[in-house]
Amino acid sequence: MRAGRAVRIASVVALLAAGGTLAFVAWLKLAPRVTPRGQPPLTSIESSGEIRDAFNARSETTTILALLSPT
Amino acid sequence: MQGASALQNILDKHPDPTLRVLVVWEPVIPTDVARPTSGTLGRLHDPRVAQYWDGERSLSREMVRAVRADPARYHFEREMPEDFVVWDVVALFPPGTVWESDPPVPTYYGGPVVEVMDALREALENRPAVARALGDPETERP
Repeated sequence: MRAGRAVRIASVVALLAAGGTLAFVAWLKLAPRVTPRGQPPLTSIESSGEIRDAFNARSETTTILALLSPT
Repeated sequence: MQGASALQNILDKHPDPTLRVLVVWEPVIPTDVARPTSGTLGRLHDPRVAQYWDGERSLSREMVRAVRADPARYHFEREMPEDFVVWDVVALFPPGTVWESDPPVPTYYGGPVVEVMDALREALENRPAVARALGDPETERP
């Protein structure tokens, strides 16, 4: 009887974990991607040449280049 | 994401309009399944920032290629593995730097971002001192 209850609890926990993971992934996929006011929109790049062009477009400035992971 | 907030703190303390930041987000860890959300992008809210999504990590690959081709130019003493991923790093370039065939050599670079903010701040405020730290022979003269 105790074993059956433990299996049921484990199943519920597993379902909740799977559901939570799916909800998290869905949220990551569907959430808006709006940059703060005053910034250009988020640009998806296909090659490093696009960053090079952006870099050279205002080479008179001091530039910080950062590579980051979103999560 | 803490790195983004740390970088914003630097910008808050440096209102210089001739300073700009290019932020390249890239998928590195398993939860990086999509482009950064508005909440993540909002961690860097300064108008001097431009943000990019590099889903194929093309910039990292280009940096690794350039460093492997000429490690000494980038002050690397050890060989960088071909599959190395450049992430959670910042690099500082002075005015007048042009990116030609290879990425330019930064005045300062370091990571993890959240741990190098003091060094980046020093690099912004005192570039000759940082050049010395990187072994620039021109600034090592007494």
